[in-house]
Amino acid sequence: MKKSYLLFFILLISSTSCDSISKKYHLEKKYWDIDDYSSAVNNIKYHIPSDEKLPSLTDPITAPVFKKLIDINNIAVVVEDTTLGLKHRSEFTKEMFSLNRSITPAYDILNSKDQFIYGSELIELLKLGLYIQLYEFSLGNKYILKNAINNSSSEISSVINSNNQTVVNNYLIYLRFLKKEEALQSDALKRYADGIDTYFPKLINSFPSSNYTEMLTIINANLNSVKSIEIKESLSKLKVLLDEKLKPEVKTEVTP
Amino acid sequence: MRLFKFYDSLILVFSFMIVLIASLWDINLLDYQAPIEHSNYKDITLKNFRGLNKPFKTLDGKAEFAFITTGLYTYQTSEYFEVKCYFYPSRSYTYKNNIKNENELLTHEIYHFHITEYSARLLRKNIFLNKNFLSNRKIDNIRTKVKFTEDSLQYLYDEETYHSYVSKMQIRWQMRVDSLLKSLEAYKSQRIILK
Repeated sequence: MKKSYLLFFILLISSTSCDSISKKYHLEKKYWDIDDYSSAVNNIKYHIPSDEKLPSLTDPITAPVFKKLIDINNIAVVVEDTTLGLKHRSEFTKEMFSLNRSITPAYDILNSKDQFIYGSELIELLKLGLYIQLYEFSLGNKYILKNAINNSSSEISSVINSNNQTVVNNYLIYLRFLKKEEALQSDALKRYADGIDTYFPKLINSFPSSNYTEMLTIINANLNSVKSIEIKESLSKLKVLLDEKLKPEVKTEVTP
Repeated sequence: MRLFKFYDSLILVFSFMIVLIASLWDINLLDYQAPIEHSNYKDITLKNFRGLNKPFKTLDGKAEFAFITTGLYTYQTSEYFEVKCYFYPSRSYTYKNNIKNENELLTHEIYHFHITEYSARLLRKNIFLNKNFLSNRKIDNIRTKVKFTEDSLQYLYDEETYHSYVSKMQIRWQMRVDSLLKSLEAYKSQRIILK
């Protein structure tokens, strides 16, 4: 009898706790907008006591919060909707990336053994950043071109080229993160490899005119030092892709 | 005995006041406006949303939302069957007037009204097709089926457009509802002549 009371009490506590988390983070909402993201970021950064765990993928109560935080559908529903204005979508990505950059350091914590406490979560946040940047820069460029008086002016070309290179340089930060490989657990390493497979080919495809020489140098260095088999495979695939891209064009003479 | 009567009256007055106040959240009698027929839908603005929001009522946790109350009014004589489609201003609510996406919000709500108008036309059509076999039971059956169709459409409309947040789905639904209304253009008139 006492056991059943205890079970009831535990269920009651956990259900009320889930309910309050759901309300606090607007989990009933199908899509989070900027206000929802901003509110979640504020809650995580400033309203969780230092002795409590942050929302994570392994905690069944707070996992829905973190999964919502990295759900690309929240972003895709706006950025991929061409019925919405270019300016609106471009500004949306800027604000989302700013929120993403704001929350990421909160998960960048090492334990006493120099291991990331939230390794998988940190990688997922970085991957979300990669996804947002693809749209932030491509929509930004489209908006600049749309509003330019002369699309082919050297000033406009310079801004576009600079943007195209900035996004590639930002992606390099993700590759340089591999220096911290030993601080990541196996699950986080798999997630990291998935980030390379998913987003880097899209980057090369979306920004073909950027310079990828430095990226190739970092990949080569990482291939020598990295231990994870999954990451090695992902890097090798990316290297093949870049080698193909950077291969000098062979001019063939056409005989009449 | 006299004290008992005093408390009785006090409770009665207090209960009456509570019922009166609570009823304001159903129909805002303090800012009442008569129902508007569907034929006048172009005159509707967000200022016509005069209802009050129930305390603590949210939409998926957010307090910033709007809702529209629409409905059908039916009247029957031996000669005709009449179906009118109404928007109820004092039972409809929007969270504030000067919002950024005012037009989008109004359009979304108006299309809820159009769906109700579609159900009105569907009801008229079914009444007309069954006019030689009409009984109260038959009419009730038709009404129930039409109401079910309308509720399903209203639900799907909100679900797929996520209350107008998903712009491309909102546009798709607008086209869908427009074509549904067009398909029953023949039943636009409020009265169905039975004889």
